[in-house]
Amino acid sequence: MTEYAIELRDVTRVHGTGETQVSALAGVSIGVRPGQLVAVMGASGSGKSTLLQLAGGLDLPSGGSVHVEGVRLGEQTRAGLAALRRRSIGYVFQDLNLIPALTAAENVALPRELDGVKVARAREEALTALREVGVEDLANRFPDQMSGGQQQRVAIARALVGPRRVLLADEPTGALDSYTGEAVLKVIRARCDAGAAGLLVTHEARHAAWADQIVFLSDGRIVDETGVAPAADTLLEGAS
Amino acid sequence: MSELASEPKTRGGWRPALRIARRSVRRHLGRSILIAALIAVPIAGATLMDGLLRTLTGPEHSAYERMGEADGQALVTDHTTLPNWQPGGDPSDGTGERKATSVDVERLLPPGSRAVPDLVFGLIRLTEGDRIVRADIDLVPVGDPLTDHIARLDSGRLPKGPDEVLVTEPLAERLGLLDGGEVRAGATITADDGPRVAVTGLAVVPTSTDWPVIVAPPDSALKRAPGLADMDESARQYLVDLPPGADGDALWPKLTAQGVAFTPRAVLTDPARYPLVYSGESALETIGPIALIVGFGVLEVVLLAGAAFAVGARRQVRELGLIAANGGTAKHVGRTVLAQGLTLGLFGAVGGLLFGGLLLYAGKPLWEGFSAEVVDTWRFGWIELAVAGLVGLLSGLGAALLPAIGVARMRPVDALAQRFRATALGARLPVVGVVVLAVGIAGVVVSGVLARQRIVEFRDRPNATDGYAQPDLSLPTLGVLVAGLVAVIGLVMVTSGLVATLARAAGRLPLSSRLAMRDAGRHRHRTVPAVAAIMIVVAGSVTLAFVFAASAVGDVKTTPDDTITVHADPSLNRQDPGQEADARRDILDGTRAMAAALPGGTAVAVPAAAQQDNAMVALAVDQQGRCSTGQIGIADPAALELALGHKPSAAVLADLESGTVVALDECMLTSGAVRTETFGSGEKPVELAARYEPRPAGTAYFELPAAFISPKAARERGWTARLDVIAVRFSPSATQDDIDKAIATGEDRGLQVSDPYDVEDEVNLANLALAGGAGLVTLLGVAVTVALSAAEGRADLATLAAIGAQPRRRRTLAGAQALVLSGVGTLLGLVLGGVLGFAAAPLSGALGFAVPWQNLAITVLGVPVLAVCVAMAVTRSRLPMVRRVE
Amino acid sequence: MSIKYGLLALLERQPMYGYQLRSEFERSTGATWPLNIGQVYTTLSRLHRDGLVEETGESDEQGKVVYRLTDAGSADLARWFTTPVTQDDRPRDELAIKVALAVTTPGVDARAVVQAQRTATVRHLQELTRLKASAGEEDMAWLLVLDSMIFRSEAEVRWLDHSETRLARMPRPPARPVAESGQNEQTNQEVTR
Repeated sequence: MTEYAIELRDVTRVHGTGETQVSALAGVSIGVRPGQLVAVMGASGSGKSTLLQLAGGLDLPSGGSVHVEGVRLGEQTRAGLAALRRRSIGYVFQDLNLIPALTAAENVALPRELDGVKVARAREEALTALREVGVEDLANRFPDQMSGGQQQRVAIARALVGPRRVLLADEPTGALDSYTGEAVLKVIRARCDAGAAGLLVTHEARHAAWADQIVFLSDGRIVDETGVAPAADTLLEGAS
Repeated sequence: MSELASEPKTRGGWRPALRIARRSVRRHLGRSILIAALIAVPIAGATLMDGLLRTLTGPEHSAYERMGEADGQALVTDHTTLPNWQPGGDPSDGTGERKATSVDVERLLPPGSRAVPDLVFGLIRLTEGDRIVRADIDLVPVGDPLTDHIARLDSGRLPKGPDEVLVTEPLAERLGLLDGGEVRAGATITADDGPRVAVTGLAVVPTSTDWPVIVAPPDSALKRAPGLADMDESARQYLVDLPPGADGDALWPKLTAQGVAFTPRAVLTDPARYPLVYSGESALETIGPIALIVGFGVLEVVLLAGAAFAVGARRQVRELGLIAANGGTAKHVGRTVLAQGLTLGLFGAVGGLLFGGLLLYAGKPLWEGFSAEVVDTWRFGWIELAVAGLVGLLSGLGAALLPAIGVARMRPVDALAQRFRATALGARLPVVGVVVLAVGIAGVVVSGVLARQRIVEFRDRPNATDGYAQPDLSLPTLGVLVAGLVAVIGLVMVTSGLVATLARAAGRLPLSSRLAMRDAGRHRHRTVPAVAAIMIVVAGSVTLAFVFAASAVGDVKTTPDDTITVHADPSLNRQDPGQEADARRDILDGTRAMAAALPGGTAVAVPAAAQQDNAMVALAVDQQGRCSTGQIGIADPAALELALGHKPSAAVLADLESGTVVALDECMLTSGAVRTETFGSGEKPVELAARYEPRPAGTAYFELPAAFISPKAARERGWTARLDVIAVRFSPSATQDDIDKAIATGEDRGLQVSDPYDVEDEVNLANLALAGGAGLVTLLGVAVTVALSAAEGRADLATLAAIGAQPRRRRTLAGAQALVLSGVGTLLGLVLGGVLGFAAAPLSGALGFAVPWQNLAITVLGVPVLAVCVAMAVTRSRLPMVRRVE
Repeated sequence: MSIKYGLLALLERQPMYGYQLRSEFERSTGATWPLNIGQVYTTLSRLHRDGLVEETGESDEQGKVVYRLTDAGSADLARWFTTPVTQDDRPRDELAIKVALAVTTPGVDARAVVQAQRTATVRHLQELTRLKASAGEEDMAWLLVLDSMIFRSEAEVRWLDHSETRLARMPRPPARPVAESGQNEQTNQEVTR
C-alpha cells in the first residue's frame, strides 16, 4: 500500500476556553492515498469544515497530528504552512473561490507565482491544469464572465496546478445545480483517478458516492464509514 | 511576524500583488477615484503653489524683475576706477572723475556683447483738464529684447522720437485716452508745467500690469518736466547681453578698473557666492512652517484615504483569505493591500501633478490678474515637484499600511469566513494613547513656556541695538512640532476608545443616533480615521486662529479709525523753497477739499521733525515687527491727540515742555531714553530722555509718528518742523462712497492718498478662511465616512427596509452619523488646538494671548451643523431592498 | 403492469419479434430489470388478445412472428405516458416498516439498524455512481434509469440521516441515565462505552 497523502491521526480541535469551550473534532483519524477520493459526510456543525481546515493547514489541531505528503503540519511555522499550501495543498470552496481581479489562468497560476515561478512558466502550468479540467478555452476570462460550474472547474485546476497533488474540497457543489454539480464531481473523480489525493466534504450522499470511501461525521466523531464498495452485482440483487 | 524571519525569503515578490491591485483599482472605480483624489488634491495644490511661487517670487523672479533676460547690469560711474568695488558694494566709492554719459560701454565689454540703457525711473504729474494725475515714468528703449521685462508694446506702435510715448492701460483709462481698448488717434499727455507728447500706443509693464506708467524713450521730451529735469546723471546703467561662454564673475573685476560696476545675473540667482550680498532668510524659518503644513496635510490624506482603504480591505478580505489558502504568506497578503496603496498613490501623485499644472496653465489669466504680472513661462522647482510626487506616493502607501498590517495578521480561516476579531493590541490602544497624549501635551506646554521665556529674555537683553536681530526660537519651535505630533498620535489612539465608550453609552438615545453611535463603535476602522482627520483640521484651524489673535493683539494699526492719511510728495525737491511752498499749498488745499467731501471732515496736519540735511529724524528700534516706524513728530496738540487717541494728560504735556520725548512704543526706549538713527547721513546719533506713554488701544499707528518732541526742544536740536502727513478725519457715518469720492478728489489734485486699511479685517478674513478650510475638510471626512458606511452598511439598511423603516430613516441615520463624527472630531480638535495655540502663539514673536471667540464659535457650531446638513442632503432617502453582493 | 407498457413502447419504434423485444428491453433499462423470454411471450399474447398489438404477417428467417402496435395500442401507450405515477402504484416500503418496528420492538437498537442500512445504501449509491461513470453519454435511457435509482437511494440516505438524528434526540427510557439537554450522541457513547 502506498503512503497516505493526507493523514489525520486522532485529531481533536477545541474552540474557545472554559465555559464557552466547544469541541469541534474529538479524535478523528482519516487517511487518503494518492489516487483516492474520500468523502466526509455529516450535518452542519458536525465538524466537517474544521476537519478540512486542519487537513489544509489553515488551522492547527488541539490534539493529534496532521500529515500532508509526509510533513507534520504542527511542526511548521506560519510561513512553512503557507509554503505547504502553495506547493502541496489545493482548496476548493463552495463558491467565491476565484479572485475577481484575476483571469482564470492568472487565478490558477497564482500559487505558482506566489512560489516564485516565472510568469511564463506559471501560465504554462496553469493552461495545462485548465486543459485537464476541460476549460482551457476560458483561460482569459474573468470570474464574473464564467458560470458557477466553470468557476469551480477553474478552482479545481488551481488546486492541482503544478506539483500540487492534494485536493481539499469543501462542499464544492453546494452552490451549483444538481447536473452541474455532478459534472464538477466527475472532474474531481477524474483528477483523483489521475493520481491526486482528494478529501471531499459534502452533505449530499449523491456526491459523496463518487468517493472511494465515505466517512460519516457526527458531533466531531466518525460514526460510520464505508470501505471500498463490494462488487456491483451483489448490490444490484440486494436493491429493490 | 517574527517567525517569518526563519523562512529564507517571501517568494513571488510583488508581481501578483501589483496585478491584483491594478485590477481591483479598476473594479472598484468609485472608491479608487475617491482615494486617488484625496491624494491628488494636496499635490495639485502644491504643484500650483510651486509654480506660482517659483514663477512670481524667488531668485529667478527677482533676477527677471531686475535684468530680464540680460546677463548682467553694468553701471557706468563717474569714476575712472572702482578699486574696492565688488558685487553688492557701493559704486560711489571710486577714484578719478569723468562724465558717465561719455563712456561707450560696449567697447569695454567682451566682443559680441550688447548693452542697452537700463530703466531710468521717475515720477511725473500730468494735467488733464483741471485734474492732476500722478504717474510713474519709465525711460527705456522699448522693443529691445533686453528691455522686454521693463515694458512691452501691447497695441499701437512704438514711439519714434522724443515727442512720443506709450502708456499702460490703467493710466490710459484714467486719462480717458482709450477708444475701443486701444489708444485713440491723436491722444496726447501733458506734464504739469511741462511739455506735451503724443501717445502712440499701449504698453504693458510685465512686472506690474495694474500700475499707471508712462513708457518713454530715454531721450523723451518729458524729461524736461519738473521733478525730472534735475535727474541725477552721474551714473548710467546698462543691461548687458554677453556672448556665449563669457563669465560674469571673471568680467566684473576687469570692469572695476574702467569705473564700471558690473553686477552679474548670478548675484540674484545665487547670492551666497557674493559676500556682500544678503542671501535671504535661514532655511529653517521658511521650511519649518511649510513642513508643518505639509506634514499635517499628509496626515489628513493618510487618515481619510486610510479609512477608505480599511473599508476596501475588509470587503476584499475573502480574496485575501483565498490568497492565504493558496499559499500566500502574511507578507503576500499585506502586499496585496499595499500594492493598491502604491498604485493609487501613483495615480494620485501623477494626477495631482498634472491637475496642478493644468490649473496653472488654464488659469493663467487669473493668476496674471492676481499678481498683476505677465507670465511668459511657468517655472517649476523640479526637485520640489519630485518630492511632492513622492510624498503622494508615500501617502498612498501610508494610507494602505495599517489596513495591510491588519489583514496580514488575520488568520486565513477568519479571512475566508470574513470574520473580524478584536485584537489585544486594539484593546490596549486607548490606554497607551492616554499616556502618549499626556506626554505630547506636556511637551507642547513646556515648549510654549520656553518660547515665552526666550522672548522675554531677548527683549530684556543688555545690548539691544541691532534692528534686525530676532529671538532664537528654533528649539521651542521644534519642541512644539514634535510634541504636537506626539499629542496628535495620542489623540488618534484615544479616539478609538472614546468612540467605543460612546457606543456603549448610546443605549437610551433615539433610534437613529443610537444606530449611528453603535455603527461608529463597531466600524472603528473607518470612523476613527475620519474623526482623527476632522480633529486635526479643526485643531489646525483653532491653533492658527490663536496665533492670529495673539499677533492681532500686538499688531500695529496703520491709521486711526475713520481717517485717511495723505503724505507729502516723496519726489519733492525740498532744496527748492519755491517748489516746497507750492507743494505745501497743494497738499493743504487738497486735504481741505477732501475733508469738505466727507461728513464731519477735518484735516489735521502732523508735522515731523527733520534734520539739517532734510532727512527725517528716526529712532532706533530693537524689535522687528512689533514697532511702528521710529519717526519723531513735532508735538502739535491736534497731532498728538490724533496719535494718542485722546487728549494728552497734563503730565505728558509737562514732560514735553521740559524737553522729554514722548514715545508711544515701548520698544523704542532703552533705559529711559530714545536714540536717533542716522543712516550714514553724517549726523551724529543722539540720545534723548524719553517717557513711555502707552496708547490705550494698542501700539502706535504705523502711518503716524511714534514719538513726539516739543517744538521748542526740536528747535534747540536744530531740527525743523516739516509737513509730512496730513490726516483727514471724518465722522463714522461716512459711507464707503463718501470715502472713495474723497480719495478721488485728493488723487485728482495730485496727492498721495493712503487707503484706510484695516488689519483687523484681514485677520477676520483669515479666521473665516481657516474656519472655512476646517469646514471643508470636515465635510470631506464626513462625506467619505458616511459614504463608506452606507456602502458597508447596505445589508443593514436592507434589513431596516425589510422590517418597514421609513425612507427618511436612512437620511436621519446619515445625519446622525455625520453629527457623531464631526461632533467628536470638533471637540477633540478644540482641545488639541487650544493647547497648541497657547504654545504656538509666542512662536510668531507675539507675547499677547487672546481667545478667538468668533472663530471658535464658527468652528464648534458651524462644522457639525454643516456636516449634518450635507450628509443628509447627499443621502438618497430610498432604502436598498436587496443585499447586493459585490 | 410495466412490462406491458415497456413492450408497447418498444413496438412504437418499429415492429419486432419476441427475442428482439427482450434484448431491446434489457438494453433500455440497463440490465436492472432482467426479463425471461416466457414473460415476453405471455405478455405479447395478452396484448394480442386485447387488440393492442397485431401480427404483421411477415416472419424472420427463423420463422418468428413479428408484432406491431395497433391504433388502440398506440392510444393506450400515449395514455400511459401522460398519466403520472402515483404513490399507490409503488410497493409498500419495507425499509420504513422495518425501522418503525425496530423502534417499537424491545431489545432492538434502532440506530444500529439505521446505520447498517445507511452503509448498505451508500455502498449501493457508490456502485450506481461507478456504473454511471462507466456508462457512455450516448446511453441516455440507461443514464436516466441510473439517475432515478441514485436519487431514490440518496433520498433514502437523507431519510436515514434524519431518522438517526431523530433517534439520537429521542428521550431516554427512565432506566438509563438521563443526559442533559443539548448533549446527545456524544454522551450516549460515553455512557455505553
